[in-house]
Amino acid sequence: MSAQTQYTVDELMISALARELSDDDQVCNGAASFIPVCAFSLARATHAPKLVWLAGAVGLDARPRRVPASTLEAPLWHRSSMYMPQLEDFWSYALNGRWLTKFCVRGAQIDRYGNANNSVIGKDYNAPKVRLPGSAGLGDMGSIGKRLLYWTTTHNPRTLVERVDFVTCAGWLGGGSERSDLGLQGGPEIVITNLAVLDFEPESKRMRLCSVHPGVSVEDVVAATGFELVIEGEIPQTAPPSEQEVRLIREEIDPDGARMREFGG
Amino acid sequence: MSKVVSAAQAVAMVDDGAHVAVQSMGTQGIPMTLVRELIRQSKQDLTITSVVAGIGIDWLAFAGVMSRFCGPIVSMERFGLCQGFRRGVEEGRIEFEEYSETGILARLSAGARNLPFGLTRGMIGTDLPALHPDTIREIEDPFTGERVLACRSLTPDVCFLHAHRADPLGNIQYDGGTIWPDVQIYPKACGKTIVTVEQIVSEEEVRERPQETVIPHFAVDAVVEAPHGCHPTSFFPDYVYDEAFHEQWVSLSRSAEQARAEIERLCAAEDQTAYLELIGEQALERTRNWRELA
Repeated sequence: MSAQTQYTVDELMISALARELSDDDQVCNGAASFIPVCAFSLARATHAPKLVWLAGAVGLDARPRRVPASTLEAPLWHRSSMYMPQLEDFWSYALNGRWLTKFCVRGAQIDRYGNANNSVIGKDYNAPKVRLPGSAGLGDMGSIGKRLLYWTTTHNPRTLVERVDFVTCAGWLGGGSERSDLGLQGGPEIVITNLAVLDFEPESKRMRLCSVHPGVSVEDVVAATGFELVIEGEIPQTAPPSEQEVRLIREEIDPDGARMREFGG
Repeated sequence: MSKVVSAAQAVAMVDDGAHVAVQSMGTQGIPMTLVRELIRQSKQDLTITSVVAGIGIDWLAFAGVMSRFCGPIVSMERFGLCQGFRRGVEEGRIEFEEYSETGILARLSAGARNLPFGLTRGMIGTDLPALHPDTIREIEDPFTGERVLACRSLTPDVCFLHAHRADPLGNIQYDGGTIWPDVQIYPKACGKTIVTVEQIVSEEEVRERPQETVIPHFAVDAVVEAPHGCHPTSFFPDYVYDEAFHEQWVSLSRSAEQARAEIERLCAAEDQTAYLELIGEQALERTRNWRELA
């Protein structure tokens, strides 16, 4: 049945990210995070109704009628059960280690060891080619034990690079045990792109191809990646979203198509 | 004694070269009346701190009144990068002293409590600490030997905040929503506190609802009445950001010349009343009806 389901890549990415979340997880979202917000809503509407979600890091278990144009502003916090004060409460729960254990990360660059850059493009920090927005909470979330779930809608050699120009978010650093040697827990677990799903080889911590989306070949992914991926054996296809998931995304979660903002829409 | 003054009188308290902490969360809660007044008074060489700087900093960058940003991020969220600020950094006119969110908050928290430094486990493993040998140092936990970052105390000269109400004494009240770090930390860390409010009320009205007071009068230096004072940004629950205004800014700010002309036009308004007339009641009314967006 699902083989006949008509869907688009945004819906596939949302479904793939939703499947990484369970009833036991607690998540929050940051700015312009439409794919994660749709995925959290989808998980809560399907297999993970008890998923705890701090909308915009503010609204506890919000129930927005639909995904609005901003993932930080008040419309997303609609019908929350608490507005989380940021300095003492949000950051204390986030830093404590027991709560909010998964965090979704998008970077302008992501490298083979899952380090992310949202600061500058160019090798000279003080004279950048492009001044990106900056760290915000990213410079914290990679260092405080979170399990990091990456997403990007631009799987190409400019986004997926051998080495980021600047480490804004600590991933597996130089690979191997470098991260744990620094005493850091957690780390990057999965990368969901518009072409494929990837993870990290447990020993070397190099990015590894897990599955390619229907209609995408392994060669396509290799050509779109700016470094050598770990590819082991036959690579399966990413499971497409179910008919029910597609219906929920289109009709209930995001009827206005806010998610398309992540695709330059 | 009343602390109520005009925006012009309040901003006259800011010296050239000052470090100004400005309330801001992307498209939310920027005291724009005071931002415009900084430009009207042609301040020079300001350092700005915000948690998530937005359109206000873009105006300050285009107007040439700031030379440094000290904080975690500059972004108008769904409206993208602040082009004036970004070009200022890329062309070497503006310095971006970048910290993670817990890094800047640790610095300000230490300043608030008169401690030499705050602590964080954030930023470890990133390239951020190495940018700041004078303010971020890795130290050992004296009890366990574990790695932790010391973040040097930061005490900006003055802060700008926006709130729902104040009485003439300077007791500041909020109507709910989340309490942003700006509100909790700036008045304690900064040398002076200037607050614009939607409405000035009597001391008796404040005493009827003390649970809504978030900043005590003794920590406040000046209060300015500025209804719709965050326009074009939002101020929960009164109004949402002005979408059309932001979109027009995104388009105008592709050209520095056009951007400066627009800033000049908007800053020509001598006070909040004149500014709101310039914006027009229709546009303001649209931002008050934000609940239909939820």
